[in-house]
Amino acid sequence: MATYEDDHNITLAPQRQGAEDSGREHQSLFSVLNSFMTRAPQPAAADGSHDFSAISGADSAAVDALRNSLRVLSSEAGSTLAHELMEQLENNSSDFTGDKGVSDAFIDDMERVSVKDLKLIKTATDTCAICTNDFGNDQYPLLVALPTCKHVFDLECIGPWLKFNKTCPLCRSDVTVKKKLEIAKNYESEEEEEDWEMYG
Amino acid sequence: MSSLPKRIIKETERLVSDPVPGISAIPHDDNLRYFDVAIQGPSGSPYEDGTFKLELYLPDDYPMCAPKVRFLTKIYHPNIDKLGRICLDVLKNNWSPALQIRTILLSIQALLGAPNPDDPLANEVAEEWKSNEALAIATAKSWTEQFAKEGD
Repeated sequence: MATYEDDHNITLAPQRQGAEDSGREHQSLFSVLNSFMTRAPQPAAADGSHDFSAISGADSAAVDALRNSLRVLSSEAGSTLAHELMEQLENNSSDFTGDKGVSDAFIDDMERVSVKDLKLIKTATDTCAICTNDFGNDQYPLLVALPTCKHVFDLECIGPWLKFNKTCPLCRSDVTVKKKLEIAKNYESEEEEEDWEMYG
Repeated sequence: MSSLPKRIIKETERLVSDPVPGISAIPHDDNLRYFDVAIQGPSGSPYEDGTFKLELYLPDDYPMCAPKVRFLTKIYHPNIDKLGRICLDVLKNNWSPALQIRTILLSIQALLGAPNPDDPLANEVAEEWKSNEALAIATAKSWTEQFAKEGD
């Protein structure tokens, strides 16, 4: 049975030091971000944006900590993501995630898929397109289907991507468009039903 | 290098065991994220019969970020500049983590077969391509002859 460590070819040795050793900077970067976000005082807005101008006093220490972490990540580990984030932070952007990614709530709300249901989903592949591992090989698989296109990925793989992008890796459709479409579709289907009653 | 993600190992193995025709990519022994790449110029293009060397580096964020790719062989092409940098959407804004080293290298090979002077990186080359395509193609051929046929 493949464990998390096997799949990602890492050993969780206690003497493990910097994130740069693991080769998974996006993970450590997100832990930095998450710890920052949970420390941020105001509740995350529905769209996941954080207003930096509202942060003051003691919380500026948290911003400094984040800035320092990002600087280390971007300079020593050469993380492009960290560099982009740092630029956003330096610009004192009012919208932390910019227009780029989706909110944590969006990621949490994605439809979970069990391995045995994969065959029932037309758009599902046998492997995760991001890590290229077979879904079935995972002892504790945690799969999600994107709301619009229903393409299936490991949550662990698609999560980091969606924090900075709104597109499906496989078909590039905007994952956030679904709600509008759904509303429009419901409206249409109601109309259709009425039409059927009238002419059928 | 025991911390190399499994995906990179799998991609590397497949590049060796099931290589893309006309493309080779070999990782450095001391840095498995750094590849020496060679792409054959597509037939019917001014780069036909040339072998173009590139370097490809997988950043730490890969596959969340695109690989960094650069031509090492001098090439006359409107979307490739003097430093070998490549103007290709999938290497920039249109990167997707479902793309792989092999698909990126195929895209670059396709770019050699279909230069796009309307989205230039090398402005002078693009101007030449638009104003006198025959001459531009002749130049590209002679550069291929001169720089892309060493050691054949």
